[in-house]
Order: sequence, then C-alpha cells, then structure tokens
Amino acid sequence: MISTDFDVIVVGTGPAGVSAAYPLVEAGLKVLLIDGGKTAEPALPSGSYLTNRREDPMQWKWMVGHDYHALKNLNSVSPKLRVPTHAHVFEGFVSATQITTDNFVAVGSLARGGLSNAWGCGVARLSAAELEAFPFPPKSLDVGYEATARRMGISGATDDALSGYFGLDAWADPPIPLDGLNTRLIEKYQRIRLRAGRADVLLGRSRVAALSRDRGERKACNLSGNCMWGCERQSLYSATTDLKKLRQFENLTYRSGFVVNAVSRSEDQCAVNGSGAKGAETLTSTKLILAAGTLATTRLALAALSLYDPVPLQSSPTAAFMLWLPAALGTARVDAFGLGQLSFTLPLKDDMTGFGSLFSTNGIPIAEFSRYMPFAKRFGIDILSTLMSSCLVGNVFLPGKMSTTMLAHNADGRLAISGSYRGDMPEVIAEAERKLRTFFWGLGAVMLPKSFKLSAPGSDIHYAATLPMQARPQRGQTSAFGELYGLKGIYIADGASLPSVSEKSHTLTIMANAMRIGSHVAQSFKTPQGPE
Amino acid sequence: MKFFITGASGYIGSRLVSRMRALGHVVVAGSRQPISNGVEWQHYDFLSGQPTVPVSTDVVLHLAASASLDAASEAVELNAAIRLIAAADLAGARFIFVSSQTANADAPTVYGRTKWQIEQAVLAKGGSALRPGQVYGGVEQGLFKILVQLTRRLPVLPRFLPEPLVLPIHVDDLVEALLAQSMRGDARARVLCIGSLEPVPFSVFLSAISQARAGRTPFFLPIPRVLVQAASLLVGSRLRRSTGLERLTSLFRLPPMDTAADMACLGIACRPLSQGMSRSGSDRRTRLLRESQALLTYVLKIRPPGALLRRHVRTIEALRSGLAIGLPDFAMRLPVTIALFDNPRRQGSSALAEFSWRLDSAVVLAEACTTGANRFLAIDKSQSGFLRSLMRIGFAVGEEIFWRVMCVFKRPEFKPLAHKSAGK
Repeated sequence: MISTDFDVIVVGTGPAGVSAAYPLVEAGLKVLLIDGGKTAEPALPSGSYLTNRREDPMQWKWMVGHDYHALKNLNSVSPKLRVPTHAHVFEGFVSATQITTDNFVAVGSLARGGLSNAWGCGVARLSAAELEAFPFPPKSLDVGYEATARRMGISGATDDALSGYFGLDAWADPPIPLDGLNTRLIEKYQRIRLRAGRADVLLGRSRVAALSRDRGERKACNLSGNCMWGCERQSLYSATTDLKKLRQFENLTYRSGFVVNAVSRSEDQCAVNGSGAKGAETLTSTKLILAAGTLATTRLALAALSLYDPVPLQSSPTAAFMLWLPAALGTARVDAFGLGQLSFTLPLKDDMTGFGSLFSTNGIPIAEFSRYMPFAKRFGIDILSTLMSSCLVGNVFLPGKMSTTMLAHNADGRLAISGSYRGDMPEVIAEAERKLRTFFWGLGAVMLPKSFKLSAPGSDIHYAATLPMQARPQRGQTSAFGELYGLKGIYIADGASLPSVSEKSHTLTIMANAMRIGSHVAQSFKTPQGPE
Repeated sequence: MKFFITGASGYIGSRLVSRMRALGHVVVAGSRQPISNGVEWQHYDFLSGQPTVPVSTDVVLHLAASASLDAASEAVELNAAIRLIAAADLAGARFIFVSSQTANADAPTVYGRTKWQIEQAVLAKGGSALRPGQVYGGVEQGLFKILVQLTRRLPVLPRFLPEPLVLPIHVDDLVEALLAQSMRGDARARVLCIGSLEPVPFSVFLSAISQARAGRTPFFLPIPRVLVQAASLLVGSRLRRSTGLERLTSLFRLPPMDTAADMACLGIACRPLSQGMSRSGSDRRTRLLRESQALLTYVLKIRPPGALLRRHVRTIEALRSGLAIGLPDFAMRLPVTIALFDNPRRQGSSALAEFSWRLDSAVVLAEACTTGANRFLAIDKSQSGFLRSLMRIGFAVGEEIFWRVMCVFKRPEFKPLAHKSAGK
C-alpha cells in the first residue's frame, strides 16, 4: 500500500466541498478537509432591522463597521461587499489568488463555508434539456439534488407558474410569507393569468435555501429583515452548518486556516502545498478533490497542468432594475424577508430564458440607491425616503453562453481574467428590459426610468465551466466524474467542472454534482480496478 | 547640544524646553521654582548673586523677565542679565537673549529701555538677541493669557483709532526661531526681528483671539488714541502703571519692525493667525470639522449629532488625507448650497472625485444612526398616505430643478484641493 497522510483531501469548505465530503466520510474513508479559515468577528444584529434602525445608537457598527469597512469598499459593485459582518467572507481572496482583472468582477472566499456565508440562497434544478450538454444521464444528478435539498432546507413549495421551472417542490417546505408589495403583484398576476390563459413572462414564488420551518439549531425566518446583515437565527443556509455536522465524523480531519498554493500529482499520490499556522507544509493523499471555488480551483488546476493558454469562463450576465408600485405610495415600512420573494422567467431570442427575482428594499440602506439617482444627494434622499416603501428591486440573469470572458493562468502565477459579453448583448438586454417593463406595467408596477442597468461581467458571481466535464476530455477538461485530464486522481468538484451555466441559480447543481463526484471517488476505494 | 534656559517655566520657556528635549538635546532649566517634569533644574532668579552656568553648556538662552514695570525691578533685571552674560562668557557658552519689539534707547517705557540696555550688553560679548512681535498661541500664559481673558470677559472690545499694528508670532514659531539661532554656530553678534511679515491691526488680532478662544466674533467700540493718551497724562505715573495705561501707550508707540530678512535668514515661516489661534496650534481639525458639519447638515437637513460629526472626521483622518478640501465659505455657512456642487454628473470628473467621496461617505455615515434612520427612512412620516407622499416627492423634484437652474445661472468656482487629498 502507498503511504499517504489521507485517503482523500478536499480543498474548500463551501457548498461544493461539504457536498463532496459527505459520501467520502460516510464511506469511512480517511478524509482531510481544509479551508482558508477566515471567520466572522463582529456580532450579528439581533431584533428586527427597522427596530434596530429606530433605536440602536450603535447601528453604525454593523452598518459601517468599526474599521470603516463599508467606506473602504465604497466603490465595490455589490452592497454585500460593504457589509461589515461579511468582511471575512471576501477578505484576502483576490490577493491570495493573484487575480488581475480587466472589465471583470472577481469575487471569491477564504472563509470557512466560502461564499455561502453571503449568498442569495437561490436554488433551482436543471431540467433534462439543460443537462443535455452534461456527459452523463440527467437522472444521475437526481440523488444529489434530493439529498442536498433536504440537507439545506428549502422553502417556497407551492403550486404556481414556476413549479416546473424550479423542479424542487417535492423536497421543499412552504414559502416564507410575502410582503405587501409582492402580494399585490402576485395577486394581480394570478387574476390576469386566469383571464389571459398563458402569459409571456411567468411569475411565481422564489425557491430559496431559507427556512420556513425550524430545523434543530437553525430557526425559521421571522421576517426580521436582517438577511443582508447576517441572520442571527441561521435561517439562511450556509455550508458552515454542514461543516459542523461533518466534523462529528471521527474519520474526518479538519484543518482551518490552511491556504493552498499548489497541488501536484506524482506516480502514487496527490500532494497539496500550502501554508497554515505551522508555516509551509505539504500534505499527501491518494485522491484529491478541488472545491475551492471556480476561480481558485481553476488557478490550482491550470498551474498543476502547466497550462498557460486562455480558457473560457462562463458566468450569467446580470442586470438590476427598480419597480415602483404607485398604488402603494405612502404605505408604512414593514420588516420583510430580504432575499428573493417572487421570481420570474421570460423568454428571449434564440430560445433563451431570462430568470430573475424581486426583493424588498426594506433591509437595504437608502445610500445604496441614492448613489445611482440622477439627483443631488439631499433631494435624492428626500425622494427615496418617501418612495422606497412602495418600491421593489429586481434582478435578471441570462444564460452563461452570453458571456465571452476569458481566463488565463500566466507563468508568473497570476490569474488574468478579461471580461466581455457576446456581441448581441445590447439587443438581448434591451429585449429583456422591454418585456419586463411591459409585464410589470400590466401588474400595476412602473419600472423606474433609467433604473435598468446591466452589471459588469462577473458581477453575478456565477462563475463556471473553466474545466468542463466532457465525455471525451482533452487537456484542460475533466472526465464525466470531474477528474482532471492528465492528472489522474485530482477531481474538480465546484463550478469549474460544470460544462455550462444557465440563467438559473447554479449552487444546488454544483452541490448535487459535487456529491456525485464524492460518491464516485468513495466507490473507487472499494473497487480499485473500477471502471474509470 | 547642551542648553541652559532661564525663565524655563514661563510661557515661551516651557514650550522651548519640551521642544529641545523632544529633539534629544540636554536641557538645564533655570527658574525660581523647580520644574516637575523630569528636566534637570537649577535655581535661577534675578536676586541670587552670581549665577553659575552649568558645565559644558553650549548655549545660554535667557528668557527670564520681570513681570512688573517699575524702574527698580528693571534695574535688578539689567544687573542680573549682565552677571549671567559674564558667567556664560566664562563658561564659553554662546548667549541668546529674548528681547522685545519695544526695545529702544529712548523707548517710552522703562521696560523697553531696559531691554535695549541688555541687548547692548549681549552684543558686546558677541551674543545675539531676538525681538519677537506679539507672541500668542498654545497654552494661555503671559500677555496672551491676559488678552484671552479680556476677550472672554469684556462684552465690547476697544478699537483704537488710528489702529496700532502688531506682528503676531505663534509661540511655537518663536521656539523654532530660537532653535534655529541656537544651531547656527557662526551666529554673529546681532539683533534679529521675529514676527509675521505683514503687520496686523490690533483689533484683527483681538478678533482672532476672541473667535478661537472665546468662541464669538467680538463687538468693537472705536476709541481715539488721543483719549487714552490724555487719560494717561492725567492719572500720573503710578496709576498709569497699575491701570495698564502704560502698556497701552507702549502699544501705540511700538516701533515698526522689518522681519522679512531675519525670518528668511533663520528659515522660519509664520503660520497664519487662523491656524495658530486654535489650541493645537493648527486649524486642520477645526477646518475638517467645519467641512464635515456642512456636508452632514446638507445630507441630514439638521445639525448632525456630535458623535456622527466626529465619526466622519475620524473617517477622513483614517482613510483619506485628514485635510479639509476647501469648500467655499458660503457652503459652510449655508450647507444647502452644497447642492451647487453636488451634481450627479460630476461622477467621472476626477477633479471633484475627492469631494464626491467625502459626500458619499457623509451619506453612508449619516444614515447609520438613529437621527439618520429618521431622515432616510422617514420613520415618523412613513404612513402619511398617498397624497402627502406625492407632494413631498414633487417638492423634492422642484428643489432639484431650482438648484440645477441656479447652477446654470451661476456656477460657483470651487477648486478642491485635490493634491492635498490623496487617499492613503
């Protein structure tokens, strides 16, 4: 037998890492799980958002941060990057991964639980048609989808226009209550839909990995409105929950604060070079699973392959807009669920679909909106303070094939990402805006002029498909089980190995696939001569 | 180097001692009472016979002066100085004397004549003398203390006509001048005139003190000089001294002093009055506070709470240059006029980028407090119904249009001090 430190090392404790680890530890293998180890330090706000805003004299501590976190990141693309309680999630990633960007928003995590500490909790299942490009039968993801959905706790199950699109209702809890504005929209939509038969745009409940029922330590959403600031009740799924469960297995070793610099494959073992509390160190294993997040994983894999040619990186182009419901002007502000409440799909040219969700504006600082207003700050704030209780924000995602971003690992170690969209993007985005404007107008909501804005490439953070799984992989690709071509025993279990990314939220698919890959690796230890 | 400093506990002396020590020099402080802050101390007063200069002293700085103005104490002061000059000469130490702008062979006061006589004795032994203008700033001591107290107590301050002119010098700038003169090994026997380059009317000087230290702009009562002079003649010499009329007469007859050459020679520049008058000796924070107050008031529509104001100032100190960007005065007085610069289209123009950052950060910080929540979330008005909400929006749009028109009408010149505002 080969003498290695572990049977399998899994790099990363985000959604992909924990999903890949489950079947391995359950199979009794000696598993090492490592991550960058960054954890949260500031206390999460307790009580409801509006009560805190009214009463908490120290609210600047969680809104801005004692080290001025929000102001240091004043020009970052997303409000989430300014939230002090999430500082640890994004901290140090870009420099550790040596990323340089051109027209691209690069985000990643060295945190325990990865980006799932600050995600939008959107979940969806890919249809058989969407899985056509995947080099395995669509059914082989079913086990992963179901197990993962049940493990995370999903809410939103209801018989509506999007039940089929999400495909998760069998494993989901009832939805979290809607706020007043979303209720107006869905009620109007249901009336129109009854009359018109079929609408062009479909509207339904969002399916989200947020609890509407208690699950042990994690409590159901109580509409505190703190989603963006950190949920004290842990209603939102974070991979740290699964990590905690995994650590109860005796055959699992967890090394926190170990940042991987390189991976390699020799004849009989995989090696991971990194640095942790004890300084530089090399750990060895029979097999290695990379689940560090698409960008970090791709860098490690391309470096191990000495592959310096640019590779395509898919991500789902995203736009945001603002809806105003005039009939609700002057209504009181109420605390509300801060993530997707209603979702919609809209058909676009070439049989493409756009997917988006609507959010309450209540838990988001007014400053986040006033920065985009074509008004002097003083009067912009006057308007927003009055207007926002009747406004919703929406986003819309397009399929990853609309992005033409390229990524290259240079010989000097840098990961250079150059973002761009397909040439017909202006046309597609104009079509999406027009359709949504008309659709919401029909529901009594006005899309505020000039509010519809396409974000820079990468803003969606749905990175994928840099090392795609292929039936007949070549260099820089992976097998149907995510095994890196040319480096036997090294598997890619995060977004990097998805062959494509659709407009749907892709986290659940990554997790289901990671579990499929983990099961396969576990199986290979039982039958060493197995079919690979 | 080693210094013996007389009058070490005085207004100028105490600043000089701490500055010298901060620079790593050896200081022996001479004064009547021991100095408590760990400085080597040697008893020195005008009456204690033959003074000794500590061994291996390089420079003796003679700052001790008599506070009273009568002829007898002036004679004591002169004799004491002559003895100290001799002792310094014996010890091989250079001698620097802090004199007065009033020093003159035929000065109207004994004080001025005594200073002149001491100067002559100093020069005879190859030492130098510095004649400072009106010393002010820092801890309230000496004549500066008297003036500060006057501005605090008097409801009305006198404006003498014609106006006497003074040459203000911040106590720390004088300390730098003394330091520079001490360091000049080649210093010749000479008198150096130290003070601002341009004379300032005495009422302007008083007004600056009042604003910085009493917190108000004073009212002035014009008083012709002849009235004071007549009173001075009437009361007789004794009462003249005790009422301070003698000092006033001395102020009226202050000889003009050309400071430019000597200041340049020592390489010293005077800080502006506005800066020097603040307690820290620099008005950086005061200016920053005023600017933050204006920006936050513009955002909040009311005066910001103190904690919020300090937070914005600390943010700029921590993340930016910590210096004010130079918002025009009218914007500070009437913060709503910041709307003239707060044009959303300014984004992208690099010259105003720093202004934008400061305003944006004011918005973020202002929102994150209970006062801000009330304004930004309109908590007390949130249920005001459709019509009133619509009117509020309409009014805000109207205001926006009004200020846009004002912008076209007259675009004020505002050049932010971008070079001073580079982020850290």
